[in-house]
Parts: sequence; C-alpha cells; structure tokens
Amino acid sequence: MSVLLEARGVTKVFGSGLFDQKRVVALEDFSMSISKDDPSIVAVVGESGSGKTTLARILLGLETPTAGDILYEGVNLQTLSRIERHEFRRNVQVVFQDPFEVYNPFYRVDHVLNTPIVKFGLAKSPTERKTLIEGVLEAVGLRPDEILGRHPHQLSGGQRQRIMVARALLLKPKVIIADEPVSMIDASLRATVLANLQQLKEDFGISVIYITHDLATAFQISQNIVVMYSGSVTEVGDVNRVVTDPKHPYTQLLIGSVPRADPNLQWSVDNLEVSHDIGIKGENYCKFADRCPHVLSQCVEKAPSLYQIDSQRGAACYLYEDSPVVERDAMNSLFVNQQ
Amino acid sequence: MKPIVLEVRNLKTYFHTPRGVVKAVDDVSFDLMQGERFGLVGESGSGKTTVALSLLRMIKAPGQIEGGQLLLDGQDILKLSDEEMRRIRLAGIALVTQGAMNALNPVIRVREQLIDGIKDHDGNLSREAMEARVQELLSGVDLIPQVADMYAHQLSGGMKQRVCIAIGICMRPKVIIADEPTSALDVVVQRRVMETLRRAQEEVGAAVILVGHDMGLMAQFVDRMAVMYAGKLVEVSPVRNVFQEPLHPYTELLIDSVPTLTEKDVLKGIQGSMPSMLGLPSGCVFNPRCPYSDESCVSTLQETKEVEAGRWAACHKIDAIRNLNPSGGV
Repeated sequence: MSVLLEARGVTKVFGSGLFDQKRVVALEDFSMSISKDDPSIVAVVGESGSGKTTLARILLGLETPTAGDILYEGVNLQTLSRIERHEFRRNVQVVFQDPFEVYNPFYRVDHVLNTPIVKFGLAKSPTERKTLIEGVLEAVGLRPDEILGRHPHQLSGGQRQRIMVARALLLKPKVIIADEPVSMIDASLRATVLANLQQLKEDFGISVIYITHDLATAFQISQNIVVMYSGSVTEVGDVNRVVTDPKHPYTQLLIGSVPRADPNLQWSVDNLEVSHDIGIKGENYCKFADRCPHVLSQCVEKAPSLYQIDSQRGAACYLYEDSPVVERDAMNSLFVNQQ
Repeated sequence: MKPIVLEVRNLKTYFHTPRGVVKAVDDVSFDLMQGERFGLVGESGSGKTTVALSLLRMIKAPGQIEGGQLLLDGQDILKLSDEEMRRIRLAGIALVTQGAMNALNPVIRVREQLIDGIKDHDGNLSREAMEARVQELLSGVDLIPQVADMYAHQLSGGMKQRVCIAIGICMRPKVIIADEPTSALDVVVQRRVMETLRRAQEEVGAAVILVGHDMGLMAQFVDRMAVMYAGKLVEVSPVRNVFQEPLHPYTELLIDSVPTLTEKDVLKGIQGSMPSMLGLPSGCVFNPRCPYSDESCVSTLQETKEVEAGRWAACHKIDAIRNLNPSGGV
C-alpha cells in the first residue's frame, strides 16, 4: 500500500507558553494514514473538544503539531519543497463547516470556482474553464444555469455547500477533508451533500475524511470510524461493528445518547454514565475514567493501549486487556478494505 | 382529555419588507393541552421561531401580528395592553432560550439573573425567601448551590442551558416555549438537559412547546407534534402516528431523510429547496417539491382539515395517496 497522507504520532498542545499554566492537549499520539490507491471514507467522530477539528487543521497543514509528523507521500509537511507543496495543496482539499462564511458576499459564486482554475492553471481558454465548472457542478447534482452568476445569499445552505464540494472536485484531489460539512444544513438537504461525498469516493476515487459529531450520518456514509474523546482515540474500526455493537464505554454512552427517530425506542442510558472523583495524578490516564461506570484502578495510573477486540476493531480500554495490543501507528490495520 | 391551556387561532404574523410582505406565519391554528409536550418542527425559514415569538408577542418591526387569537386560559393575549402582556411573560408563558450561546448576561452572577424575574413579578419577598427560591430552582435543574455565585463563563454549555431552564420555570408558567434548547450541545449533554427539562416541566405542571428541527429529539420528547413548512402548518398529529403513518407528503419525506443508526440506507433528501417567502407557489405551498402533486395542487389552496380524530393535515390528496401505498405510510 502506498500512503498518500499520514499522521505519525501527532500530538498538539495549546497554550504551553513559558508563563502559561494552562495546557490543553487537543490531540494525543494520533496516527492514521490515507492510502493512495484504495479510496475510502473514514469518519472521525467526537464531541466538541475531542480534538477532531484540530486533527483536520493539522492534516491540512494549517496547524503545526507539537510532536509527531504529517507526511505527504513520505515527506514531512514542514520540509516540502515549493513544487511539492503546490502538489499537496491540490491533492488535499477541504470542505469547511460553515457554508455561509466561506463565501465573500460581494463576489458571485463563480469566483470560488474560478480562483482554483486560475491558481492551478487548469484551463487554457474561457470556454474550457466554463466546461470544467459546469462539469463539476453537474457532478454534484446542481444545474449550472441556476447557480452561476448568483451571489451567495441567493442560494440555500445546501447549494452553497455543494458548490464547495464541486470546488474541491475541480482540482481532482486524492483526499477531501470534510469538517462537519452538514451540521449547518437543513435535514432535507443534508442527504444531498452526504450523497455527494459518497459519490466522490465511488465515481472519482477520492478518499474522504469525514469529521463529525453526528454518528448517524457517519454510519451511513463511511466504512471506517475513529471515535475520539478528549484528544485520544477510544474506539476504531469497521463502522458497522462500532455503531451496532460498541465496546468502549464512551462509545456506548455516545451511541446510547443519540435520540432515535422512533417514539417506541427508549432513550435511556442511565447505567452508562457516572460521575466520580477518581484521584487523577499526572497526565497519563484514561481521559474517560471520571465518567466511566467500569473504572478500574489502573485507568488513572496509565492510559490504556489500543486492544484489538476482533479482526476489524480496536478499543482503548482495560476491559479488553486480554486482547492483543495494536501499536498506535498500526491503527489502519483495523480498517476494512485496506491491506 | 386534559383541558386546553393555549388556543392558537388563525395566527398571522407578517413582515413588511421593502420587497414585499413576507407571510412568515400564515393562518396557523393549534391547541395546547395542560402539561402537554408539543413539538413544532420545521426547516430554517419555515416560521417556527416566529410562531414562538408571536406567542410571547415579542415580534419586532418590520414584523407584526396581523390577525388571529391567542387564548391563554380563554383570555386573548393579543388584546392585552403592553403592561398586561409584560405581566404574562414568564408568569404565564415563559421562553427557554438557546442558552449555550449568549442568553445569559456575562457580567452578572447567576443568582441575580434568577432573582431578576421573580422580583419583577412578586417583588415583596424577603432576602431569605428569595435565597430559598434560588436554591430550590437550582436544585430543580440539577445544579449545585454554588452555581448561584458563578458567572456565565464559568459554566459549561449544559450548565448554562440548565440555568436558562431555571429562569424559564421560576414563576411556574402555564406554557414553556423552548426554542432549540439543545442545538449547540453534544448528544450526551443534550439527553441530560432534555431530562432536566422534562422533570422541571412535570414538576411545575406546565405545557412545553419544543421548537426544533431534530426529528429524533421530537420522537423522544414530545406527545404531539406540528410540522411547519413555508409559514403554514402542514400536519398536527400525536407523535406516534407521525412516525408510524405520516399524513402529509412533506412529513413523510422529512422522516425518510433522517439517517438511522440501525440500517444503511440510500441517503434520501427532499428534492428542490424551500420557496422564497416573497414568491410562494400558488395552491399548496409544497407542490413544487411534492412527488404526488398534480394540477389540482397548483389550482387549489390547501386547507388544514381533521383527517382522523386528533389528526390534522393540509393536503387534499391524502386519500388518493393512501390508496397508492396501502401498506401504510403516506
């Protein structure tokens, strides 16, 4: 497997200045890789403060990791040459959360589609440019004549977000990092944007890192899932296994808390969460220990390793201590569809 | 059946903009029973928040309540003077805002914000009685007594939302309007805040109108729900019926578009987008997006009718659609 983008033992600490007492570990020893030739959708799921957006920003090179490296085709992002960096910016694209703020309200939406074409020299003539733009808009299910020439305020949130997907598609990237792409879109339009992301993988062979707090949409579109809590990975693997039969106590709580759209299903997870003072010393402990109903004495002494529970799933919890340990940089071996 | 506490009759709230009249709430009618949990669902721009604010008479210019009746225990609050209406707010109808963001004053302690409303409505309480009231309110929403001395920035999102609930119930209102109370919270916190709201509401005996767009939350929290589209109510039904057998095509599509955690499905959205409120389609407002529409939907205006006992819908083709899918659903 040739690796396109890889995070290797990445840690990000905020506010660790000389005089600043407050250190926030946003991401801790995180490793993951995206294959070049085997497109897939990986969901990174967590609550606010779990470090998922920090991960996105680090993968995009917008934030420098405190420790660890981001490698693009085997080269550290920090040491990419100008040409390689240009290449990186083209192959790794992003769709941000807010479909309102990414547009400059004074420009027509054509502007966001023209800019990358000019920047990367994708078209030789205006006609070619027009064909390109119309092509990607149609690929995401938009009608060019309804979109081009409009100002952002004249379009719905769903349309605007689909234009952002179209913009990313224009560059024919290898990976798209989508940070909460549908959280600000109405339910009836959400599905269309998610279907676009799925289509990117199927029709264009683009891998997607889908960052979200919404387990249901993650389950619907991705093959693999990484569940994060407070900067650490709690459970990882085949999305079907993780969502339908969660093993880590935090994942169980998270999935139990999702309100089901069925009045007959009970919304009760009373036995899944407690709150207790477990006397945390130092920095190396399971971050979920103070809320975990199964807490053990070792949870506060040392953070658990990732244990492989079955062929396609691992959980970082001492309840599964008897299972083999997965090295953090081998997390990808738990994913389905990857060799 | 429980007595009706609030009757909304033909409520019309229009906004007079330079480009024309926006009928944000157009001819909306529903009843609210005592102690009932009632959901008001709709996408952004459907008018659900305007309904909520109209019930409190808090619509600002260029908006205006153009007509209808709002009967709180039989008294039309639209006819009250501004001062009388001010007395009704909080004591009769209270609003629980989306507190996670900035509903609380950042430079005033929680205690003062709780006392503020109580003082205004029954001012002659002693200092001790007031303090007892504050503590009772905080414990009622599962907050520790020390929270009274804190400022908003010292509280987590869930705690801020609980303070907002405490403010909402402090005068034991008959109706609580909760406008997207948990939309900025994580699912784990959301569930606990909704449990607090339910318990506080049952304790006070107030009816709740939960305004929102999350169908899952509605399914888990409310007894009956109303679905709004482009300023009109398209369906009002008990929540179980809505999910088992939605009447209006829009409700059906809305439920179909909710992704589940149990089975992988083809992601379905609703075709097209909400019409501009300045140029609504003729006939049924949903007809351009409706898979069942024909000429009759464009030519006739839809009226909300009682289709079965306790179930209202604004679609004249319900019987025809039912014959298409006899197995249930619309």
